[in-house]
Formats: sequence, C-alpha cells, structure tokens
Amino acid sequence: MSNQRSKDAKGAATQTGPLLEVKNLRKYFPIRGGIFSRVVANVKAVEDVSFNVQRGEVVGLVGESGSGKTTVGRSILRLIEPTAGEVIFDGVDVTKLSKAHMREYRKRMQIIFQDPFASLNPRMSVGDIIGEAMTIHNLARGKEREQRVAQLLERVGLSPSHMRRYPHEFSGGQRQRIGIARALAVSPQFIVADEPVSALDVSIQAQVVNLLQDLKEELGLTLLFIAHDLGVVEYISDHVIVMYLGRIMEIAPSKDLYANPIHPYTEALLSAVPIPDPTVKRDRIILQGDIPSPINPPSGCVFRTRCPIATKECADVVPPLVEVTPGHFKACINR
Amino acid sequence: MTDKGDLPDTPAAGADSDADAAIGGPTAAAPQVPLEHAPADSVEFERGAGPLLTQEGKSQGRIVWEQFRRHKAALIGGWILVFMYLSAIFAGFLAPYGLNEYRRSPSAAFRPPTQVHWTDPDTGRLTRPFVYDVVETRDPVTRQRVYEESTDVRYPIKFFVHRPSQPYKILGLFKSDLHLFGVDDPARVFLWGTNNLGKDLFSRVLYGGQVSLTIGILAVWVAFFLGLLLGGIAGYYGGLVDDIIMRLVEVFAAIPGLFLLIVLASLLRDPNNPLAKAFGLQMTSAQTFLLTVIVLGFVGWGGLARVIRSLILSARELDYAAAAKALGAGETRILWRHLLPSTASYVIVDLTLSIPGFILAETGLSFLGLGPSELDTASWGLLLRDATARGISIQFVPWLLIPGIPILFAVLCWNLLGDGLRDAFDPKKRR
Repeated sequence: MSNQRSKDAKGAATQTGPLLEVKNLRKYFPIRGGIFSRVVANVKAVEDVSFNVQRGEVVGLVGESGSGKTTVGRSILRLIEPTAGEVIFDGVDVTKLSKAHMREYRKRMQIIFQDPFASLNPRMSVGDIIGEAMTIHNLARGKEREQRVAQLLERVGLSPSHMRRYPHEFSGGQRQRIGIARALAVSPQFIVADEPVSALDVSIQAQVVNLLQDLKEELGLTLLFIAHDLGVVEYISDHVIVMYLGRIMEIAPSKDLYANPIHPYTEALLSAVPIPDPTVKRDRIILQGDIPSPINPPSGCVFRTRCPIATKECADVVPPLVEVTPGHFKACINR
Repeated sequence: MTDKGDLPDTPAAGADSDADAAIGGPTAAAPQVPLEHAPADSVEFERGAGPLLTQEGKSQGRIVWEQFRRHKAALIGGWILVFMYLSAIFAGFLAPYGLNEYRRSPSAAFRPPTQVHWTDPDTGRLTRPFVYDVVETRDPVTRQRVYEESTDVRYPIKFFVHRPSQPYKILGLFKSDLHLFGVDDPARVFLWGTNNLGKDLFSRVLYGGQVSLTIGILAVWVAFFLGLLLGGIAGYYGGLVDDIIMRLVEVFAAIPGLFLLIVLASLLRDPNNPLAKAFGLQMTSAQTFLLTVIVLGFVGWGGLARVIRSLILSARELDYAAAAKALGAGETRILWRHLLPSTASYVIVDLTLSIPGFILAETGLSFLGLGPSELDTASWGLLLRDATARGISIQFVPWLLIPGIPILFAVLCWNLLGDGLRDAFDPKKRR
C-alpha cells in the first residue's frame, strides 16, 4: 500500500523509538471459591505477550474469541490492571504510574469499544458523552465545548444537531461514530480500537473502517486495531499480530502475513476468510475442536492440541518468537 | 464503488496489489465518497432529513414524562393518589367532625351511614340536601339497635361552617375551624356511619389517611437510605466490605419479618422501653408511631441493598463506565455520573412499588394493635380494628369495613403508578 508506506516514512521523521512497547504482558483473572474466597485457579487470559507499535502505524491484533486480544488492549490502557509486564508508552511505563499521573496519559491513549450499544451511557446526551472528557481535563467549557463537540461530530460524519440527542436514537454505525468522536475529544496520539466493527453490518463496517483510516491519516494517529476477522484487519493494518490462547503466534507486516503465513494457526485463520468469488476453490484448514480452557492451557505450544502439524516436541517447550524475515516473527518449532 | 463492495473484496485480495489500490483509493483520494454513497444507515441520509425519531433533542426527564403520560392506568392511579394525599392534608377541613369527637348522650354508637335526602319527600322535587335526626330504639325481640329518622325537622346540610369547638391545623401550620360541611345540632351527618363510641367514620378515615399514607413514604425513605448507602458501598468497594454488608443482609433476611415487627413494635410502644429511657423522654403515641416507621424501614432495606449492590457491580463492568475511566474520570465522577444514574430508574420504581408494601405492613401492625394508640391518632388499620371490637357482628355494622377501601385504593394506585414509571423509564418500552 503506497500511501501507508509514505506514512511510515513520515512517521519515521519524527520518531524516536516505538510509541508503544508491550513487554512480557501477563494478565491472570483469579477464580475464587470456597467460603474464604481463596484463589482456586487463574484464567490465564494473556501470557507473556510482547510487541511494539511504531508511531503512525496501524497494528492489527487478531485471534479467535478467548485469545486474549481484548485483554491486551484494555491492559495497555489500564482499564484492567495487568498482572505483570510493562506497557511503555512513549518511553514511560504506564503500569507503574499513579492514578493522577495516569490521568495525563489518558489524554494521549484512548479506546473505541466493540459494542456501540453498551459503550455509550444511555442517560447522557451525545454532546455530554463527547464533551465529558473536555470537562474532566478542563479542556473546554460552555460554548467552546459545544463548538468542539460540533466539530468532532462533523469530523466523524454526523451532524452537530445530533448533539442534543440520546444514544438510543442512533443506529449501530452512528453510535460507533459517536464512540470514535468521544475517543478523539482529548486529541489522543494512540487509540486502541477494540473490535470497532465486529458488531456492525458489513456495509457499515466499511464506512467505519474507512473513517478510522481517514482520521488516522489526518490526525497522525497510531492505532492498535483489534479484530477477529483477518479480512477487516488486512487493509487497515501495517503490521498484524496473531494471538491464540493468550500468546502471540505470529507477527508480520500485513502484506507478508497474508502472502506468506508461517504459523499453522495463521494459515487456518486465513483459510477461514470467506472469498466472495464462488469459482475460486481453496483448501480450507478446519481446526478440530474448540479453543482449550485458558485455566489449564496445554503445555508447550498452546496451539498443539489443534495443530495439524503438531509433534511430540511441541508439548515440551513453549516456542519462542523467532524472527524469520525482517519484521516477521513466528512462534512455531516445526516451521 | 459502493461500500458494500469494499470489504468482501479484500480477503480474496491476499497479496493482490490491485485490490489494495482499489481499497486504498477511495479513502486516500476522497474520504467522504464512501459516506455519500452509503446505504440507509449512512449519515448523509439522515443529515438534514428532519427528525430521525420523534424524540429529537428532548431531555431524559421530558421523555420519561411523555412516556408516563401515555400510560393511562398509571395516570389515573397518580391522580387518585394526588386526590387521596390532598384529602389527607386537608382532612381537618373536609371532615365534618373531629377525630375523637363523640356525643355521650344521646349516644351515636354504631350509627349506619346517614341518609342524605336530595329530594323533597312532599313534592318529590330536587331540593337542598338535608338530613333528619335519628332516634335510636331497640328491637324488642332481638335487642338490636334500630335507628329511625324523625321526619318532623329537616336539617339542611350547610357548607363552610365554623365550628369553634373543633379547630384543626393544616400541615401543623394553619389553624382554622372552618369545615366543608355540617348540620345543626342535634342532627348529625355521618356519611360512613359511626363506630362503637359514636365517632364519625368518614372523618376518621380522612384523619387516618394522614397516618397511613405518610407512613409508607416515611418508612420507604428509611429503607432506601439504608439500602442505597449500604448497597452502594458494597457494590462499589467490593471485597471485605461487600462481604460484611451482605452477611448482615442475610442475617436480617433470616429473621422472620412479622416476628421482628411485632417484637420491635411492642418493645417500642412500651413507655418504659429502653430507647425512650435512653433519650430521657416519655414517648407519646406519635413518637412510638415514628419508631414503628423506623422499624418498618429496618426490616425493608435488605432486599434493596442487594439489588443496588448488584446493579452497581454490573454497571461497573459496562463499557461506558470503562470509557469514562479511559477518559480519565475519577471514581467519584464515575459513581455519580455513570453508575448511580443507571440505578435511578430502578430506585424510583422500586421506591414507588415499595410504598404499598409499607402501607400494608402498617395496616397489619395497627390491626394487630401494635400501631399507634387509638386515643390521639387514627390509621386505617386501626379503624379496621374497630370492626373486631368485642360484641360486634360485622353483618350488622358492615360500614366498619369501609376503611379497607382506601387501603385497597392506595395500594392499587401506588402499584399502578410504579408500573407506569417503570415502563416510562425503560428505554426499550418507549412508544
């Protein structure tokens, strides 16, 4: 994608290292039981995840349900506190910041949620929803706030007159635009888009993805785009991270991943992407069974229980992420 | 190129750079293009196209009110309640007799409702309403009381009569002795009959409303204060605090409610009770009554605390609470702006629906003789108790059951009102 490459170059001009570095991120959700609420087990939602996001790039994070991608996104913003690991945003480990310091960083990192029906407070008007952040951070008040909300609404393709309406009066796609406007209200550098289109109709998906891409170009945003659908991720992302059961399976430049997937899980995911051309025949890799329980993940490679090329050795070691070609990492000992 | 085409195309593309260019094309070149050609959901379609729903730009309160107005039953219930509460406030004015006014001789005990004559018995024409005085005799065989109208003197019903012997205060502030209607002595106008002492039931029902209708509201406030406070704390802070509060709720729930009420009420109405002694005051009936209210509240808060706790717990996990956190909102702001308002509709509805329960509880207590004393107050439960007085066969004095009617209406109307409010607050039931 030529325009994306040029943007990479533009980003490189100002850049001093990656905007976001995630190092050995771990998130366990304790399961408590018994009368004394002892921790009886842990749901290992994210296990040892590390990756970088360069300035101005879009990184796609894909994986099926339960692979821990949302947990990664929310841990980065500290909407849930990570169990271990570092989230280094612009050189600062945000997991160690105090609440007051974190508030400053919340102006720089934002999130767009998956469910546009749950992410907007039904009791607040659209103007209040978008303007709340400005009030919180003392960015604008009264008329000025109203003006900025109006600008944001127009920016995301809604009308300023929608300001006084309530979320329930909007369709899913429109609500998602409101959610985007809310995230933009603090002029963030980095946005986690947590499956922003998976709750929408296919036709609307395209609009919202296009909108995100426009915004990214105009405002120079950096995006972590979480999705379970490789098709959506493909054309917005520069890099793609494939997760399975809380671990990273493969990281690759977008084009590279689609042209040349290395990990058998990525292959399976790609083969599941529907092709709208009925004459094209492709061998589907159908994975057997369900994703295993994250309470007791398989030993060694977590994917081995469903992997078509698994061998005995897979059970013994956790495969490390190995760089195959520049920027292309895989976690598989058989490929 | 339409938007619909955009997405499904891409997967096939894989490494195909043509498809990439096609996708990159519209977005990079003309960002607005896909929006303009977008289907029904599109913004362009709705921008400037007038109201998209009927409720454009209305505040939440206004929407709720408009929804509520369409709920006929609730509206009727609401108006009946307004009427009942007004009549309780102005009981002194509306009641022709005082709460404890009665005549020793001749006694007016167990008088049936006085017949008001609207027509002249001689001419049969409509005339100014009047009553006759009533003479009590006994049936020589059964010894039942028999009342006969002595038709020689007509006593017209007078309106706005001053009765200096029966002053009253409205809301404890405005003193007056003006009564809406009355008749000259020795006649009496007992619209709903009298009890065993000859006290006017109509007046007593009006005065009884003051107690019975307010007790529900007062008790509900006690219960809701405790329930909201403790439930909110439990839900928001969780952990050990949550555990302690919820165990407390369970302990309260384990005590049989009626038993607790009876024990506490009988304890509290004892003038020598430890509470009264602790405050160094002899409790008047009104004070015991207030304590009854508190007792009712104490029994009723547990269920609400549980619900509020779970509402806060679930609201805390909602995306919009997470969004507020991501925007940098503090805990107080999240709690007040996002979490508590999400419980408001439940609270208002539950409040409304709890009041009839407390009204019934008070009625039950009074009926059992555990409410305020009969001498200086009246409540509907207490009035019903008259019907159980010794030596009474209810079939001969059926009017003593009349106080049951306002109880029925109050409870029914509060429930209707609560239903209406619930529907009005529910965004999914909007019409």
